[in-house]
Amino acid sequence: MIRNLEEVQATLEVARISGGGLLPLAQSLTMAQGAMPGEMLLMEIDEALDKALVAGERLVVRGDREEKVILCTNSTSYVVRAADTSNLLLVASGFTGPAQAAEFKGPASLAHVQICGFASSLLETRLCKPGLRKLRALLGEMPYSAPEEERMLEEDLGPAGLTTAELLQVIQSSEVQLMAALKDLHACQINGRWRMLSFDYEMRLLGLITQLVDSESWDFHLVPLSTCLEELEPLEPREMIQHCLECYGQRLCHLVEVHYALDEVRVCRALAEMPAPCLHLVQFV
Amino acid sequence: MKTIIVISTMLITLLLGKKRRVDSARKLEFWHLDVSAKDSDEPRPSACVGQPDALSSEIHGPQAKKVADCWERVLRRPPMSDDFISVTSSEGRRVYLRLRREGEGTIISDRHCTLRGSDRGLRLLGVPFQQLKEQLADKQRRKILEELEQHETAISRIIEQDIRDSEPTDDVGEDPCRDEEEVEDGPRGADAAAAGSFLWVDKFSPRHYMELLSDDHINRCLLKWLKLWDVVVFNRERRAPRTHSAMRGQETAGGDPRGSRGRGQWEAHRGAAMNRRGWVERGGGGWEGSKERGKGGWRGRGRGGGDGTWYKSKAQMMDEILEEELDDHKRPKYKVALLSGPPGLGKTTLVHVVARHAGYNVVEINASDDRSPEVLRTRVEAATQMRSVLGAAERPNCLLIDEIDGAPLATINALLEIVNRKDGKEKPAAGTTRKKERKKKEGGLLVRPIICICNDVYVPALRQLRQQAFTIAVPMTMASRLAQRLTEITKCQGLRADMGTLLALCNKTDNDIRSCINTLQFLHSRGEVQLSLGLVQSLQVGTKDKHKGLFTIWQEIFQLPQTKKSWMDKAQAQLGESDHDRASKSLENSRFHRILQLTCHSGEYDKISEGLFANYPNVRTNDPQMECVVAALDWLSLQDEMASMVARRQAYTMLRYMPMASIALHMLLAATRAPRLNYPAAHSELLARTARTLALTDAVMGEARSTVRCYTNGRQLLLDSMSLMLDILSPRLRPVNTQLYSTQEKRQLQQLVHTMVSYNLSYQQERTPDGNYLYVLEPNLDDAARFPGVPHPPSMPYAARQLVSREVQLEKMRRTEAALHARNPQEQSKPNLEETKDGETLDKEKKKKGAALKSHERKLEDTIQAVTVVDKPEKDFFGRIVQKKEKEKFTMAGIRYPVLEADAMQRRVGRAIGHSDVWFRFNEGVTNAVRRTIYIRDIL
Repeated sequence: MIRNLEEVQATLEVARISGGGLLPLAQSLTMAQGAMPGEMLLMEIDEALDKALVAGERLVVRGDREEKVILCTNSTSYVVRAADTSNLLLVASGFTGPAQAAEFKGPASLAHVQICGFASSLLETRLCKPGLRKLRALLGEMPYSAPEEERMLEEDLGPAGLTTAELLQVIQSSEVQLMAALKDLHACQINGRWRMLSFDYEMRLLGLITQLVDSESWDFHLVPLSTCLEELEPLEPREMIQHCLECYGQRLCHLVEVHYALDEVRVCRALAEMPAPCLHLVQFV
Repeated sequence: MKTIIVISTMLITLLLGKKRRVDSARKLEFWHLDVSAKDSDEPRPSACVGQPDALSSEIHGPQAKKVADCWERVLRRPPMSDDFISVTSSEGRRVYLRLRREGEGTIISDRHCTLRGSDRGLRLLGVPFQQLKEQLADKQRRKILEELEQHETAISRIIEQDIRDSEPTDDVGEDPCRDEEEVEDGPRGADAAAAGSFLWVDKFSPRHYMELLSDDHINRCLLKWLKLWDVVVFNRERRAPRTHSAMRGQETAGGDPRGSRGRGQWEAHRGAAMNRRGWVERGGGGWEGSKERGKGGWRGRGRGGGDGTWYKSKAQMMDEILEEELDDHKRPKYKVALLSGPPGLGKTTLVHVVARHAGYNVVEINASDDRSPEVLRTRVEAATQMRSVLGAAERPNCLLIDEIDGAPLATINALLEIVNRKDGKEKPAAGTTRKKERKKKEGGLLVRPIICICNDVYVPALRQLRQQAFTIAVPMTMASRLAQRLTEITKCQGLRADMGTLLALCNKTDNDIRSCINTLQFLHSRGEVQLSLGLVQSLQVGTKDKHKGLFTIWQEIFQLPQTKKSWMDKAQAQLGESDHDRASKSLENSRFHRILQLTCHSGEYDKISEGLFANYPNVRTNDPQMECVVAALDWLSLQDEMASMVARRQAYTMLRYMPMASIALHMLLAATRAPRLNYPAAHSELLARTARTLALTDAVMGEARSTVRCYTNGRQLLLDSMSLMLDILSPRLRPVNTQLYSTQEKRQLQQLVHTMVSYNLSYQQERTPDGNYLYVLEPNLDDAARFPGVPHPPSMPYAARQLVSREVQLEKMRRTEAALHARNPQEQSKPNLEETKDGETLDKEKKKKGAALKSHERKLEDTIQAVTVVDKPEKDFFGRIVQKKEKEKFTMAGIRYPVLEADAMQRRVGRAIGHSDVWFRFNEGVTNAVRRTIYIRDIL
């Protein structure tokens, strides 16, 4: 039941579309045996996703039951939407698209293409921002305010905070994006669990560091880690001091000793969030 | 031929007889007067006096001699040699006249001969004319002598008087009237007649502002208004408004030096008048006195500098107008002043004096004389845009338009047009130099004040002007002030009169200055020296024909005269007629005459009686028995009868009794309280309603069918049928569908519709002001047949009327159609014929078969045959038959092929598609599919 070129010409004549303007390559579509509707789910993907798939990355759909479908690769998130068309979508392998067909030179020829499936709807993926509101809400529930209180809380309620795996289950975001977001939030991993520092505690840590920098007359961009930790150890835990330095500064490793370059903008922004008497910008900076 | 013409004129003169003679007598008299008065050197027309016939002298005075010369030219017999003409006198005597060529000797024929011939037999007067003439001259001479004597005595008396009371003489030293008298002293002695022609009114008219008799405030307002023009007219700066006292001071100081000089003397007079006024108050009492007191008080305070309370509101209003800013052209807002008031108040004099005082030259126009708009326009323009060149003092003109209420509307509109004229090109600061340029231009800006005077401001024609004019109502002159002026005049003229008498005179003339002075002059010329109260009371002069409004007349009829009564009483008392009966009788008499005059002057008896009839039941009288009312009704019906008599039989003798009814009503019903009067509308309403009803009846008659019309006429329809018809037209119909009616109801409806159609009545939907819809009979018989206010049986409900209306319209259509058919039956039958032709065969077959076969015998074939559809040829848009193509082309879908070619095609296309109806078409592009969000629960 395979058509030849002559038949195709006759059909064109019947359809009254014979004549000029037709590309020489004719493709005869044949329905494959046993192709049934509903067997295929078509999804439209962009190039990055394509590459990721080819590279063998995992695709994860994250979120609760009532949330939109967000498809996450390692580093990006896509929102998935369904598009129902009235046209029938045929799936064929070896089909020459119009662009390629135009490049085809030579005498009129007939190519045979087998349709392996068809569908009437497809899934579209669209690049989207990760859903981080939920993250902020989760971490904000129980911020880390002080080591002493933390101990008491731990006794009462058990360990607070969520692990990375738990977060990835809940938050509709790719892993990379999640980590970036956690860093942005100044979240800190304590015993494998992500915690956000309470604002007061964070300010206290920052205050300590800046006072130390001030009293030691260090360069703001060159804060030695070890000296700093030694100086502040009696006041706060080392991890927290270091975390704070991480948050507000840039780790410099090229020197003999590890130094941190504090970022003025970030520090100032944090200080500005403190409830303070009205200041002029000039005086403040 | 001239001769003949002359003779014929003579004959006509003879025939005209008496009238001509009177004329001639007058002329002769005039000559005599001339002779006696002037002692002229002109030759006395003694020749004519000497003539036996006065007529000739009258007609051809200077030619008399010539006539005497040639009077023998008339011949008894026909002349032998010359041409002649024969003339026959009225007695049949024939004379002959020679004919001569023109310019040859005497032309005038000898009619004297004729006259002489007839003179002996025909004498028109018993006494010869000459004798009569001489007698007349004698009489005249004697009269003049007598008058001379009188005047001499009068003058001597005045001189004596003057000597006696020296104080007034000093005052009067500068009095203008006194001046004039002294100047005229000589001529008057010599020629009294000439002095007599000089009216006292003119002689004693005020010359200065301070001499004005009218109300001070009015004078001041007018003067202020005139002063507002100063900016434009005299190019003067406008002074800032200041207090009244300052203004007054300025006015008098700035005015004529003579005026200010004369002021002291007038003040003295006023003081004297004030003193005397005390007497008036005590004696007069009543409203007169109280008014005087108020006036006096006001003036006293006005002197002090503040404005009194008496005229406060009015004064304030006037002042506000006068304080207003000038317009763009620096003219006052009101360009025209309108003075109004009854005649004889001295309005014209006021304007003259005030305008002269303000430095204007008064140009007077009488609007009743110059009635046409063109004349007025030219005159106004001439007056407002030109200057008097000849006068010694070059003063700007001030236009005075007198009696403007006599002018027609067009004229007043023309005046308004001039007043409101805008000159766009003119700069606001229009100097006097530019005025000359403008003079040539037609229709410049009005830059001169215009003052109008009228008696009645509320004339309809003046309505427009009234709104744009500074309206001043001149109030009545104060009796005391007038009387005081009269005493001065009498003193000047040597009449003796006390204040009371003069006040009585003022009262009699309603404070009309002109009338008072004229009366005084009249009395003086009659030779009266001592004026007494009795004399004044008995005078018939001094009363004027005053036209009063209808409401005034009705009011005066229904109201007792209060104000006059006290005066009358006083007059009676002073005359010594203390007898109460007589006094009351004379009072009634005066009432009688007053109403008689009032009614006669108005002349509108019908309107007056209508008003009386409308208002007499509302007048409150002490009349428990209703006798007065009955009597009044009788009188009114009597008058009505008389009026109808006059109208019907031209019995104009009855007209003189017309005012009697109003007099009678006055006597019967007059009350002290002012009645509340309504304008009688009953008559006009009745007329309107009658006209409406008649028109309606005519309409119904005209519209009704001739079968109805021939049995009735309009009157019968209106009086008999219509009211009953209304009942017939509203039967009890249920407002439901007519299909549900019982047979009786159906018949009722049919009858109703029939009636309505035959009278061509219908129901029309109308919208009432409150938004409801009504079906109203058209024409509306209710208007004509039912009395308003009388309850009538309930009419049909809205729905029933709607139903009836529809039925009537249907019935009408049916009838017109029927009528049409009846008129031309052929036309009507045509369409039917066509129909039959169309379906002829079909019908015939049907009939045949229908007739032949019974229903159970019918076969399907027959039925099919009956309904076979005739294949109509296909037609295109233009109606041409489309030729069907034999070879049908393949359709796009390839479903249908002609059977012959199908196999070949199938072979060619191949079996791959087979006979499938499904074709795919590749579409390249972006899908327009509807995207929907999917949730995780959907994919789980």
